[in-house]
Amino acid sequence: MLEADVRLQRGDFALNARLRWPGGLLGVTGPSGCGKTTLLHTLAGLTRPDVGRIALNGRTLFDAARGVWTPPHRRRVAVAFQDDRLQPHRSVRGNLLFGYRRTPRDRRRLHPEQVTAWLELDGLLHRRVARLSGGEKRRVGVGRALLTSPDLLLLDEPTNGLDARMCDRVLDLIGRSIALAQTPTLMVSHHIEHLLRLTDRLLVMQAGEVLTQRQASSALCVNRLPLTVRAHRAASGLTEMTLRGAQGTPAPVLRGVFSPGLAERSPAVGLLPADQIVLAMAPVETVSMQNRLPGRVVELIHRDESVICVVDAGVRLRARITRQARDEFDIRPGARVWCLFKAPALRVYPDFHADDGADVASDLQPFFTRSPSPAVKTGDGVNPVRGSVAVGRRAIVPRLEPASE
Amino acid sequence: MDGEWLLTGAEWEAMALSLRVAAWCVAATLPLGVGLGWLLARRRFPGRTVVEALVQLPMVMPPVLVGYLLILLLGREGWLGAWLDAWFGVRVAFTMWAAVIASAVVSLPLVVRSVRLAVEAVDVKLEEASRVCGASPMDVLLSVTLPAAWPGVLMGMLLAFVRSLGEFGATIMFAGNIAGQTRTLPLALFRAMETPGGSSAVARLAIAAVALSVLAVVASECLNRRALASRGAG
Repeated sequence: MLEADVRLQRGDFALNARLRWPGGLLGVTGPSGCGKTTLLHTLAGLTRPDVGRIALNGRTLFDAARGVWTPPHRRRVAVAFQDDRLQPHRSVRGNLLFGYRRTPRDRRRLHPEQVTAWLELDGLLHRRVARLSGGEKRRVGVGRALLTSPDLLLLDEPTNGLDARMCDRVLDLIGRSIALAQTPTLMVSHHIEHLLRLTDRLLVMQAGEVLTQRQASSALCVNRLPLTVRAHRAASGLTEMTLRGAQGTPAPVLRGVFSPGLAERSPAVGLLPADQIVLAMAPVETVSMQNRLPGRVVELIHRDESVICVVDAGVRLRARITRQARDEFDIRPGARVWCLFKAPALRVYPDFHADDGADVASDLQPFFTRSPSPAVKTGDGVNPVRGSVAVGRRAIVPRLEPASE
Repeated sequence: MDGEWLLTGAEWEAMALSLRVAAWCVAATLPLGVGLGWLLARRRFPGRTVVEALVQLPMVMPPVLVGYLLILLLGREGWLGAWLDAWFGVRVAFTMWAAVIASAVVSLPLVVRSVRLAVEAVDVKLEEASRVCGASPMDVLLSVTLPAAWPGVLMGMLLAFVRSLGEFGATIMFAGNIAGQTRTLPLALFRAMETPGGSSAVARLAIAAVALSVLAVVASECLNRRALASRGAG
């Protein structure tokens, strides 16, 4: 359990973040300069907040009122930095073991053989740091952090500066490692898709503040679909998937581009940008779109120049349309529509954090919509913008505590 | 003319003494120089400017004056010297240790300066990363900062060594020119210059001094290369 309530003023920038979070992988996102990295550094003890309190599993790491300050090396909070920060005079092995050797024996939960295998670092151990590629350095940085067996792992922009292919590999390896390590993790990235690949729980920040769930959900424009791989159709170049936890039978089948890397019947995550969905009044058979899902409009969210249309199609889908389209087709809550999208628009990745087996088709949370949870309230005017986002089917986390100044 | 180019026994003695004094000088200035260099590079504290000025002072003062101040401080009648004599029966002035102290005081600014520059060049972010890996501040200094700043530390040691080999003014004031005890190479050279017919001795001592200095530079260069090679930047 991580509890943080920190405030910090540096020149024009003010960080004011409050969160309560039981564990798992939490994505932190927001535009550049919104305070994501500063928040991370306050948790790690590299930056000292002006006021507030940080507690991890009941241990108070910082309490301004009581004058408590735990220095970074005693926090058991590990960081994988976006600029790697590996030691040039040590080999890969030396870097990986740097934190491990400084972790008391009885607290070592993760061991070098495991971590190097998870992150596929075995071939690199005797390499010099200067001769690693960007992706390799990133993996070594994550490995070094994991090997301190931390109570909390902080990943700062792990895909920063990597090309698309390297990104995929690093995200897959990181996702697998932290799922296997079962280490509570906060991952910061301004690429929302990179976060959604690994987690359905997001914290959205803006100008130093944590956005409320409603504000955040209107800022999100990618659908995250929990899927199960059903079959690969090499001949047609498609992979078929079913929606996990979809309401109603039979579960709708989605078609993505042939991706034999995903094992059949394994859990997967599909990312579908809201502006890749076409709303149609009929299952138009005369276009080449491979996915056609019938549904009913639940809600319209007006955002900037466009309209986010939330459709219940067994799972909640968010489609972005123009006001013109809304008016032309008279789209309003309750209207029956078909959601059409091409197979390549649905990008599919392995799901490392899918809950095991018999989960909870019934308590599926509306996807990226407001939660009915009473826990989410707006503050009392002192800090009006504060809150949390909960997406996916899990409990509402991180929870917002009512402001109580 | 036989053996005119060979060092006499007294001259060997001067050379050996020079090396001994220089080695002790390095040993004394290294911990102090590393501590002060790190402090000035990494910490902001009240009185920092005063410490900085005090450390630099011996470099800008004439060495003879440094020697004189050392006598005032540590001489038999000196503030600290009288006390040492009274309580411990220790007399520092006009012994080899006086030569070591004189060298150390004039070389300390050089060590502090090179260590400080080297530590400032070490990325603070690397140190932060090590802190979150569980390393205490002292651990970070020993396992991250100093290894990364090693070429600068080595340069400081070399400067202290050669400065000590060449030290004259402060030594002759504070330690005198006592054969076998405080007569280092430069002092022996001075003595030979003043002795009628000592020109061949001057030449021998000069060559010996040059050879020692060159050796010191070559040795440090070798160490430096090895340090660079082991980190993969060389």
